[in-house]
Amino acid sequence: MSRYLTPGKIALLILVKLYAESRFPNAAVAPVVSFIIKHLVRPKDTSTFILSLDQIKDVTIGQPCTIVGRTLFDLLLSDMWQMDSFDALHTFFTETQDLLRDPEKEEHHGKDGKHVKRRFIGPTSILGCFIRRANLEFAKLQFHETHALWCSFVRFREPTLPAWRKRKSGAGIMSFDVNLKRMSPNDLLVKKVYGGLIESNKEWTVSTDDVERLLEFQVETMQRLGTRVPDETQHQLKQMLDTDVPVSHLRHYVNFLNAWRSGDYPSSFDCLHRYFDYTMHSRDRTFYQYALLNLAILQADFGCHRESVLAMQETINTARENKDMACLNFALSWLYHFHRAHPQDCPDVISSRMERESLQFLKAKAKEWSMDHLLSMAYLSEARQILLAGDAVPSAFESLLRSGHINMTQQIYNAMGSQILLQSTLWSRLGISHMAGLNCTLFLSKYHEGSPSEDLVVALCRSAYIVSMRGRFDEALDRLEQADPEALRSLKIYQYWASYIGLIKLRRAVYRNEFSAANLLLQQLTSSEQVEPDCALEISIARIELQMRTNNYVSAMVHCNQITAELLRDRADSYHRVRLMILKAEIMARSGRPLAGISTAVSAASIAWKARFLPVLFYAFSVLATIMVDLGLFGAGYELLDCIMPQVLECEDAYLTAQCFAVLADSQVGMASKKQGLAKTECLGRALGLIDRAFTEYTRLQDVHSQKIMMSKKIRIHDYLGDKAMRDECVKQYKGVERGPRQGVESGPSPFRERYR
Amino acid sequence: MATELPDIPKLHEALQLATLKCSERCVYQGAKWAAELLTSMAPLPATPTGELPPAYLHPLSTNKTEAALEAQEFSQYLLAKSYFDVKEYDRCSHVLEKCLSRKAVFLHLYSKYIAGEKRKDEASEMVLGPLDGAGTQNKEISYIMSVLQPKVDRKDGEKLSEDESFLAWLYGICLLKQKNETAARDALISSVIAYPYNWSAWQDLASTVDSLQDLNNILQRLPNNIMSNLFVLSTNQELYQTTEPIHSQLTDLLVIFPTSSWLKTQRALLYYHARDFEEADQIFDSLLAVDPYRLDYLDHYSNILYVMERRPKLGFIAQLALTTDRFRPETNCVVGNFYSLKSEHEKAVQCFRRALTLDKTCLSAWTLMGHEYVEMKNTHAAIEAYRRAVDINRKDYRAWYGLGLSYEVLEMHYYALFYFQRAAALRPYDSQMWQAMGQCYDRMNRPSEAIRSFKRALVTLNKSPSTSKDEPEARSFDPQILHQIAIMYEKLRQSKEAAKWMEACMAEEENVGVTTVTGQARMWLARWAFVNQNWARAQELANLLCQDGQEVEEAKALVRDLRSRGLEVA
Repeated sequence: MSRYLTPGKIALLILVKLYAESRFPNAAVAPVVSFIIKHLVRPKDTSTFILSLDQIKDVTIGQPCTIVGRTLFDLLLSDMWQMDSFDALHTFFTETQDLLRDPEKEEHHGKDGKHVKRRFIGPTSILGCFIRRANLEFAKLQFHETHALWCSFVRFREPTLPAWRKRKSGAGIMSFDVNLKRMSPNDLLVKKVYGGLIESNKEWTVSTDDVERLLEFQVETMQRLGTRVPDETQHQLKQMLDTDVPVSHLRHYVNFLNAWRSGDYPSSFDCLHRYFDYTMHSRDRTFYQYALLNLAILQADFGCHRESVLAMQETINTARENKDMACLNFALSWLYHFHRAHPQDCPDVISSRMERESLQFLKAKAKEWSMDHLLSMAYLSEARQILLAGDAVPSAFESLLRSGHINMTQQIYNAMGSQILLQSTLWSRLGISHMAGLNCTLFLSKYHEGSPSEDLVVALCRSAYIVSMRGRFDEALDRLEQADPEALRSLKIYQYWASYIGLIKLRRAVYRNEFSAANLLLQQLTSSEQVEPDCALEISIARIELQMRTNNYVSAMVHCNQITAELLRDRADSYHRVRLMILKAEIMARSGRPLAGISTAVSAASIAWKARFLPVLFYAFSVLATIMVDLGLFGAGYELLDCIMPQVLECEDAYLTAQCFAVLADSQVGMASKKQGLAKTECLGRALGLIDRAFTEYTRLQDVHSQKIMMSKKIRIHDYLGDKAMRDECVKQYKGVERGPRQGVESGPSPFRERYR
Repeated sequence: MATELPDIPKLHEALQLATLKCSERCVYQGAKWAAELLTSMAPLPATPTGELPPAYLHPLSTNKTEAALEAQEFSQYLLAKSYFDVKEYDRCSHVLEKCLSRKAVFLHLYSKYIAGEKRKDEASEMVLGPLDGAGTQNKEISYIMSVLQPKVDRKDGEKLSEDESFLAWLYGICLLKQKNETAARDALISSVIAYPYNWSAWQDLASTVDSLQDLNNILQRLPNNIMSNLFVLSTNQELYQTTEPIHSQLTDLLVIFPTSSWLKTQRALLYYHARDFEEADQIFDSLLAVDPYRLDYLDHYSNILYVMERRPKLGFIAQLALTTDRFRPETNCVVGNFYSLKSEHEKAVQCFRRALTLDKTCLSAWTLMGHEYVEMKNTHAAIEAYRRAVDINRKDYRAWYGLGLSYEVLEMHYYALFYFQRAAALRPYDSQMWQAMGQCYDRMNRPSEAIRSFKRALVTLNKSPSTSKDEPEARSFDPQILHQIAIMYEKLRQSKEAAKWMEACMAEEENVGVTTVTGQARMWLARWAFVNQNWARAQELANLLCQDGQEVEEAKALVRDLRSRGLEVA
């Protein structure tokens, strides 16, 4: 059992001593000292927890030293083997204290004997702290603990015996203890004192300190990246725990995080309580608020929203009592976000308070306590709020930029994800889906290190969704498959990811008219309780579309109304509300009540225009145009769409584009009916061209039904024009479409095929 | 004492029986000692039948009525013994309350005594705490005594039976606890006369012997048995007698018990008392090689290594002891000594305290703890620790000496003198004691006594019965003492005498080389020559001093003075 000292630490101490005594040239200083320091400071990766002799050998064997023809490893060896008794270990530690004394002053005092050139190690430097800590820990050791340390050191050193024998003549199998000269390993005395040495396992090669470092590192990683414990680390941890070191209670916390991420609610709950039970006595009640905070988040994650809010309220109260501003602000910010996400679960008192002042309050507090991370988050929330309310886009951009500025200047890397994702959302709302996709790609390729894996997966899903909107479903699914399997071990992330896969497959099935598959997918998707709100909405929309395709307009309408009501209740994103309004208008238009739909469509369009929800606006236009065509206002319909076509194409939404083209074609045909002669043929020709383009887009979506409609329209036009050859050609194409959905335009090799990681 | 070779097979049987009897009565230390001694003898040729001795297991009493009683109470006895073995002493005592056989009575009272000791230890709480000390007594003793007195006290001097010997021993222990030493000695002697193979009784008898005189007094009353020889040997050892006859007696005993580690340890301790550390070290070393699990007397070995300043070895021994048993007083003493040698006095004190918690009567731990407290300048604690050591065993000269030193630190010289005298009485041939006494007299402005003490110190140095002939100090005088004697004479204004001693001190340079003391002596002589206007000699001495040494400046001044005077004389 060891708190701090291990044989590895003793070896490091020897290296420090060699360094202080200037026993190796300057060229070797940087690699060796940085190796030492790597093991003393906060860990950066998982390699620094168990220090083995081989690691030290690798670093030192290539380094020259002041003795010609010897390497640093030789010096280390000789110093290690000069510690030839239990007493020598004591002496070694006593001597290391001298390293902290200023050699200049010592000379002044006139120390007799030979003058040793020595570096001065400041007591407050990292190395100085290490020496002092090691000495303190050594002094704190009980005799039997010192004995155990010595034995483990002997065992640690054992593998270097052949190397040491080569360098020193007379070194033998018993040279590990000077008292055992002239004895054989089978002597009773040797067996008595060092007998257990050979059999016993690797006790003392790790200390509590090592385990704590590993656990702390793990907690930090898990909290920062939101992942679970990697297998490798879990293995290391298990290895360490096997050595019966007294392990800190942080282990429970790691278990808690691990269980939480894996979605094991009962055991995470249990571990969290256990952790705080064990830490209560050592850390007092000061950490009570953190316990509550963790509890609240845990409950929220597992869907116990009401409990969670209560716990969070308690957190806020306790944090206020203890004047723990960091905790308080975090709790407030969390509550704010929670309120945004689940307004129906918040008590009225909280929600009313949240509405009015909380964001301003948070911003002020963050500035006051210079909590940059919180401030950046507050700005992001502000931008998000503006977007949700459908307010001015420039101010949203302003907040976004502010947040980005803070992230950049204060180097808050893990907030980068939220910022870029929000930006991507903003672009896609402005109808520039290329930029939106680019943002996601940028984040994935440049910030994947040090970002929470949740953000990474969200970005991946978003980019895949954008790709799928262009009709490239296979590529989208391909992309989703590339998600980091380590990240997917976390339940929440996995659910998010899986629902996106389901959504994309659902949309594909809907477009392909594979109704039974679509129904099955829908069932699967709606059966899981934990679905992100935006994903859930997409699923609902897909369901309405499905119902429309199966001509089940009544239930589509009912469904649509129901979702609209829910959105209104939750005061949700106006973007979605507008989308549903348009869907409603479309349903009306399709179900033969165009006049009823027109007002809805127009009001939706006006809201969309005000909030600059451009894709929705275009969608509204397309519906409006459809209605106009239905009402015989062909020219107006054509004009309406024709002027926005370039922007529609920019949206890169294959379905929208196809529909627009189809409506355009319809209106051209309608216009042709009012014209004569050449103009008529011209219109029909134009219509044919538009139908072709719509057909291409539908082909992308593999929307067989629409493809067939387009073809049949084309056949009829050709028939009308009397172009038999062309007509037969089209008939053949129609049959081809009917036969196999895979025929036609297949998107070529995608430029987005490169892997992100 | 005459050493006649006893009948070996009989001795074998006697020791076997002793082991059985002792362990029957739960006198485990005695049983252990007897068994060790038994196995250290050369093995007997195999008996033709190959059977175990007839008295194997529960050896019945030789007395018929006793044997009948024992047989009758056998079941109760077995129950009681098993209680004792699982350390339920009170219960054991209770079971045997109504039994009549001597064995049962002994066990009844003995377990009561042990229970009382245990309670006493528990009541005294912390080592050196407020409740630790004479105030806390074993409350069972008065009861035990009241039961035992009619059974054991024979006014008519009638010999006790073998079974009663254990009762007498217990009675002796109780008397010892009450500090009634003469009565205790009588009881113990009657016990060993009745049954000589109970080593515990011998040991307790030894603790009543304070001086050689005491030993000689009781020598006549001891039974003519090999056990008496062993007793005399170990008591002499404890009295620091290291003369040749004792060594030869030991050698004789070793003929009977050739592999006895106990006897070898006695030899090592004899060497230790004679300050022949090398020999002692070797004996202990060989003992450890044979039986590394043996912890007995290891604390003495650690003292030896401490004095020899062999830190690696001491560390190793500490490791060895640790691997055997962490919770033995001996182990903790060794570890404490190791820490003390590493100047980690706080840790050392901690170890000694632990040793004392394990065994309040651990003599060396008390003494060593006193030493550590002296090092830590906690004189009062040191005095208390030494005092406890002396209370346990008045023969520990180190504790007496330590007490004296502590009082000297506190400038209470009259007290210190008393303790130094006690130490010197125990070690009449140890110059250190006499020197300390001399210094004490000096401080008290009693130079003539101081001179006598110092002279005694010189004598002991020469007369020291050291076995090794090649020690240079043995033949020479310590210049320090010579110098001090000279100074004492100076104080008495006997300058001529002082000069004589100073010359002697300077003469020691031949043996020990130039030291500060001889330099001082030379300076003194130079000045003395100067005062006596012996210019040439003064010049010569001062010139010598000018070459090196501490008094260069003073010597130079003297030379200058001489020069100016020399001009005058010329």
